[in-house]
Amino acid sequence: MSLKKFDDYEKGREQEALEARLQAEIDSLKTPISAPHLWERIEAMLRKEETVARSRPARFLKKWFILVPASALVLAGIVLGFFFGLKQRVTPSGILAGEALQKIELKERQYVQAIDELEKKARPKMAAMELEMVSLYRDKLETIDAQIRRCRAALASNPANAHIRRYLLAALQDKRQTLAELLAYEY
Amino acid sequence: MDRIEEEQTIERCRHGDLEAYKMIYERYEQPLLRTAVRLLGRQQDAEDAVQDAFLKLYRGIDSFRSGSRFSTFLFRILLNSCFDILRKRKKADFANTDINRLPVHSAHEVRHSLAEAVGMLPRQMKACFTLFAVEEFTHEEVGRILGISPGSVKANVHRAKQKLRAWLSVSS
Repeated sequence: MSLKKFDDYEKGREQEALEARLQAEIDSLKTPISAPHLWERIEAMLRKEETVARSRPARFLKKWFILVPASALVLAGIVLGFFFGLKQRVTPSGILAGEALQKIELKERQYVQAIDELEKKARPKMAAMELEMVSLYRDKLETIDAQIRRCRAALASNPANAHIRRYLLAALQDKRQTLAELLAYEY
Repeated sequence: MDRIEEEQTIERCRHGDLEAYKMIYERYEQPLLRTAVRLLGRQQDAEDAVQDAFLKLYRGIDSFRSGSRFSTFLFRILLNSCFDILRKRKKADFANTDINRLPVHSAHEVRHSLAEAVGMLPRQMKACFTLFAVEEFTHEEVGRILGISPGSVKANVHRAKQKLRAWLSVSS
């Protein structure tokens, strides 16, 4: 066996021994930890929470405080979208001219870009937030996203409809504001 | 506790049954405590984190979606509690802590010191290593718990092992 091969063999053996030692040390980290009164503490705290929760209907209301206006906004968007969509067929005033359409599309792109950036920043923050708050913001954002999807679907067949464009812009603004609020939220 | 039993227990938890919470506690007590101790370094803080995690679980059990894995949900809550405690402690930035500055120990001290060495890893690396190597979650599950990609978990675990191997080779 050449000297180089012997060195490699030795290094390999050392590496293997080190790996085995690391694994043994990792296994030793699984040693049970004794916390004899922990459950009693948790139970006492949960009982206290149970009593407080019974006298506090606010959690349910808090969720609806965000969901109801958001749903109302979506409904209003749909109803008005249909109304103006129909009206637009009769009166051409609701149709955007080529230049105006370009401007509004540019504005939408700017909003989408801003939203993308905010979403990137918001993701790690949401991961660290309380579950209850995360679920409230997620519900609100999902509702706004649904409105954006509906507007886009309507615009696919009627891209120059000014009214639907306006609702789309409003939804994009709303999403941007919600994400900004989320980023400013202190916990 | 198999998966069906666990789902039934969670359903009871949703109805505020404290016995069901106790069953969850008995099932996950050790992994939760171990993870919290690894992340926080002190048992008292770890117990506080587990207690806080159960309070958050009680308040947020409705947001758990059936069909998802409960353990990842529970560990995500625990890690949030641990990070809250770390934030409150206002410790120096863990990312700047250098494992190479740890003192070298003799062989009989290694067990204690390896735990110490793990404790000195940067926060995210430590969480990835503990959940993957000690608690045996998959890369995907760790990613879901920490809100990062499985690739990032893999990289963190790899770097953690590298640092620990280097530390072990110096200490022996």
